[in-house]
Amino acid sequence: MFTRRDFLKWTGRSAAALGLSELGLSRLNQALAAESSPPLIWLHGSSCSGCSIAALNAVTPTTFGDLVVNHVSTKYDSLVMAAGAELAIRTMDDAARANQGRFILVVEGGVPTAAGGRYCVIGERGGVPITLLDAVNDLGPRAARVIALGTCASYKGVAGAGANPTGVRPLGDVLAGRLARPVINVPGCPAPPEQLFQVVIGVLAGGAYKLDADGRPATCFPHTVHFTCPRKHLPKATAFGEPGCLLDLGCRGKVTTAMCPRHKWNNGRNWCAAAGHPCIGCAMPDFPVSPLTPTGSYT
Amino acid sequence: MSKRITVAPVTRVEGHLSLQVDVSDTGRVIAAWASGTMFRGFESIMLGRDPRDAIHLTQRICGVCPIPHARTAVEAVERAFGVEVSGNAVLLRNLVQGAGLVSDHLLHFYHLALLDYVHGPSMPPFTPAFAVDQRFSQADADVFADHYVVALEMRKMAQEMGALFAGKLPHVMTYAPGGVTQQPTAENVAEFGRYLDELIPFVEDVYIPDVMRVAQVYPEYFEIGGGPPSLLSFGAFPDGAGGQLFEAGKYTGRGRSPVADRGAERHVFPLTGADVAAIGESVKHSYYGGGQGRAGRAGAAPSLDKPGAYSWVKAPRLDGQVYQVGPLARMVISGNYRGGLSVMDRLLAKAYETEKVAVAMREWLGGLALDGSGYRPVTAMPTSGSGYALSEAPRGALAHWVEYAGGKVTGYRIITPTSWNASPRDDREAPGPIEQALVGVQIADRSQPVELYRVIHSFDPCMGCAVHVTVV
Repeated sequence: MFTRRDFLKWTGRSAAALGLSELGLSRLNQALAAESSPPLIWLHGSSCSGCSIAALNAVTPTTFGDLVVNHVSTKYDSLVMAAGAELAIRTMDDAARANQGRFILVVEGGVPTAAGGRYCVIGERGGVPITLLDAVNDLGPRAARVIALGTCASYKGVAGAGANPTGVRPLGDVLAGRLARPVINVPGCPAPPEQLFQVVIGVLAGGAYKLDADGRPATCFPHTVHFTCPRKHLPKATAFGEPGCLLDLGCRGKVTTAMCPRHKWNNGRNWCAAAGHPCIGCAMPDFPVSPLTPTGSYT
Repeated sequence: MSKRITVAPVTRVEGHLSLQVDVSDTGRVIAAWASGTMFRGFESIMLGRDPRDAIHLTQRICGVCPIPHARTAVEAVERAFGVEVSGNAVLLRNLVQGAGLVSDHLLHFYHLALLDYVHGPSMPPFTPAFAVDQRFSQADADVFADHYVVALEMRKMAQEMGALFAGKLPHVMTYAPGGVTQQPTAENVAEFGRYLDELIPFVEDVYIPDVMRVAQVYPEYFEIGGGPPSLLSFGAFPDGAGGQLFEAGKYTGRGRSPVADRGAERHVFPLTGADVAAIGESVKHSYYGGGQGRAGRAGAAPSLDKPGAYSWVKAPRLDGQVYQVGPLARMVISGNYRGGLSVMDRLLAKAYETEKVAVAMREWLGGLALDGSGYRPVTAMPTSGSGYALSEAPRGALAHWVEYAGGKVTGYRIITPTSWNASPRDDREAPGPIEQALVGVQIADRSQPVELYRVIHSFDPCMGCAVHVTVV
């Protein structure tokens, strides 16, 4: 397992990549050395849990296990926590109260706002249902920083596609005007775990994130998929299975900013275009565009 | 006087589930109601789109088990198009789906279910925890904690293995009408095999013994949480020669369990087209307008304040009967498991099934031809058509139906495993399998109902899947 020492070594090496000043780095070391790790509350909304599964797959800069065990104190995450029922909700309430202004809030999935948020109920308090909207409104302004995890939380994504009957809105819109510092979007379907962990680590270090126009950390999304795609100089493919550039098969790599060609997926094992399939633009505010699947030669 | 207990949320499940139970003075469950508490409305997403979009979109119903959705969607579309894929494509799809199953079953036992029996380390997210009926010593708990961490690594490796042919996981990129866009090479086949070299021994030497250890220490759970004695499997993992690793069938027990019916293979029947046509969904107690209908044909519009409704999950029934689905159903119907129906039987069948699939993956891997035949270009899409496909997700029977006209989807219908298992009461007021399995469970401490957790987790509910979808 990744030790605390390895972790510090890594943060030292990648301080520049994270955009941390020396001051920030010493604060990070302090944060990790502190007896009680910084608290984390992870809410699941209108989601498929794919971003959680992706986070569980990460090894760079560290593993999920290492992050939640050694570096943050995971007070609430309904997918992994031991407690349930009232005890779980009480744990969340106590953690927010005891760590006012100090905890990191991660919201995975869309926030439905229609019908007062009743399309997503995350639990009950004293017999009264708690909607995700209630929880976000309550916890967002009390958090040190709020992270929108995945395209659904960042932009509404699949959860808010089509007629959007449940009124899913981007987390940043729901909380607009009520946060000292804006929501950090980490889009992707699922969100790339490398980027989530970088952001969490940066937040722990007190790094001031420069966000781009889409609310993402600018350094995480510097250019398009096409820009670094190894297929782009090849002749255009006319059907799947050919080795060429997939642009004519509906590839969205030219209009999608993401790090996929560099980070790849599943710890570098593969990624979409390498596996012969065009980019579907899953990290973009307009995902899922229609048609999503490439048209190719047979429309 | 009975007393009502509310469990909201049920944690360590995918998605949003809550539970109400009425218990007697002596703490015995008299009745249970399971509620899916999140609705997304996938139907409005699919309608009017290119039918091929379903391959990507329906996966987003569930990031824990996206692969069976992708496979069932692509095969439904292929049936509508009249496209047949090569044997190589079938094997590649099996390998990705098998990798997902191994990853998912490890996640379920070690990271979702195990904490119902064993205390985790003394720190969040393992604390606070229900502090009743913990029977393992601290030394045992430490070993399980080690395995918890190793299993995180193993399930991650299984996802990496799947990504070799999936492009990425979660959310498969490579399933397209005509086959799989990622072709096998000497390199990726060898790498896949190296993952199996590590995963199979872990399943055989750690996972299965760990489940058996839990079963030995909690033996009464072989008598608890049986649920209805009717099992259903749609069959999965075709071998390309007409057979399947798991047969499609239904088991209708006369006794309480397969044990009571031992030697009575007559209780297993093949699944027929008529059976599939006899699947309907009740929405009497679901938050949808309208009444009963053919699977998904009625009751599409959400109706939040509907009297008597308590769940976003619909109630699928075959010929009006309640069925439970999942690894135990598959293993019993395929003749690979001869235990009973209970919490522990579900955990054990799942572990044995993991081994069965992992071992079969070796064979599929060895059968791959490195000739680029995994994908055959599809040159034409009929302007209208319909199709369906059946498969088995890690949690049980999965079916997709697609209809489209003018190149646009006019109807899309999905019935997922957890819709069966976590279904609410139906038109005849018959409770769903989880609701039935909870009746009779004895609770020691009403504020810490760990006994309910054990029963619910044995079904491994996936609520994102259960509340999906779909209908016109």
